[in-house]
Amino acid sequence: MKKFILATVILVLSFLLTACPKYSVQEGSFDPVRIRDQNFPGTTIRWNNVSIVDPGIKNKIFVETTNSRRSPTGTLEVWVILRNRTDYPIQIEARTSFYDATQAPVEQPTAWKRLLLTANSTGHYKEMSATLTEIGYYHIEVREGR
Amino acid sequence: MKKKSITLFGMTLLFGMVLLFSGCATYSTQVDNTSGRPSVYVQNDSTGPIAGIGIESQDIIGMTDKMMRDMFTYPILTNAGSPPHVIIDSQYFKNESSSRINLNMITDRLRIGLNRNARGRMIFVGRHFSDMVEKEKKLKSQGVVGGGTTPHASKTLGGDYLLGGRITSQDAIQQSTGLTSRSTYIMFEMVDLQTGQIVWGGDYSFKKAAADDVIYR
Repeated sequence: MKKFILATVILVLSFLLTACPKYSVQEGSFDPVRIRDQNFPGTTIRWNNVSIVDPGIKNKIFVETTNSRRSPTGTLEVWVILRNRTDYPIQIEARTSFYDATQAPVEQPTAWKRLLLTANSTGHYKEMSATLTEIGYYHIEVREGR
Repeated sequence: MKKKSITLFGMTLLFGMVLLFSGCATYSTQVDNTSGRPSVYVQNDSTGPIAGIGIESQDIIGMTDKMMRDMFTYPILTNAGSPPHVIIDSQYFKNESSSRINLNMITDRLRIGLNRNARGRMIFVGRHFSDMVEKEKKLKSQGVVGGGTTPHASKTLGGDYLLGGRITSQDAIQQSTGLTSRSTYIMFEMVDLQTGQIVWGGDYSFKKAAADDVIYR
């Protein structure tokens, strides 16, 4: 009887121990996760800012600065200066979404605009709103150009 | 008599079964009765699965979006005392490039985008519908149809500005590999119809290279 119990314990332990090495480490970008807390930083749109939405270029290009100003007719001009941190040319695409003071979208997102960043250089993306003074916020998205 | 009817029934049954089973006999056909590749929707503002060196949907969307937003920054077009009358159609928009394209795709999209966002800052004249308007005015003046609800206008709108443009390109082909590149330049200009002055200009250019096996129709 004792031998039987001992054999069972050894068997269960061997099962447990063989299962242990089978864990994996998450590397690179993480998949989106739904978080209930509305005020959790990083889960809401970062207004008047730039998002690199393509994981493939997340660690290749960096946002140097972004800002906006009014054009002579009252439309909003936004821009972002990007730096290619690699030793190779990179093609990227960017577009802007414009929102009013209540953060409601006021026009369609702009068309994707293609930029070619040569190795280790900076480049800029500039866009205008089509509507006038009701623009309160903007959000620029950047992805790899294909 | 009973035996005879049983025999008749048996024979009929046998005949029926022969007919049924002969229907199961294999036959050959040329029809390929397999499902084809289903059509799929693809994004029209990004490079699609079929891409060549010509002007494609993402280029049309990109160029018209850029021109529309740029025009709205010009006070002469959008902050004038009274909204200017603008004509945008493909009559003076020329394609001198190697790419095959329906020019109305560019001018229509530009006019629609401007009109939707201008909100009264510019007035667009539908010169491409002028025959339709004249026909209706004639019917009204002859008393064939009623007057409508909008105020009577003796004349149709005249234009203050008209959009012109041109598409040009230069091709380069590497004979050994068949690799083709095309540099395309598209320019847009708004012309004052009183003086001929070009009051606004915009351009869009790109260069694409591929082993061109795509046909644009």
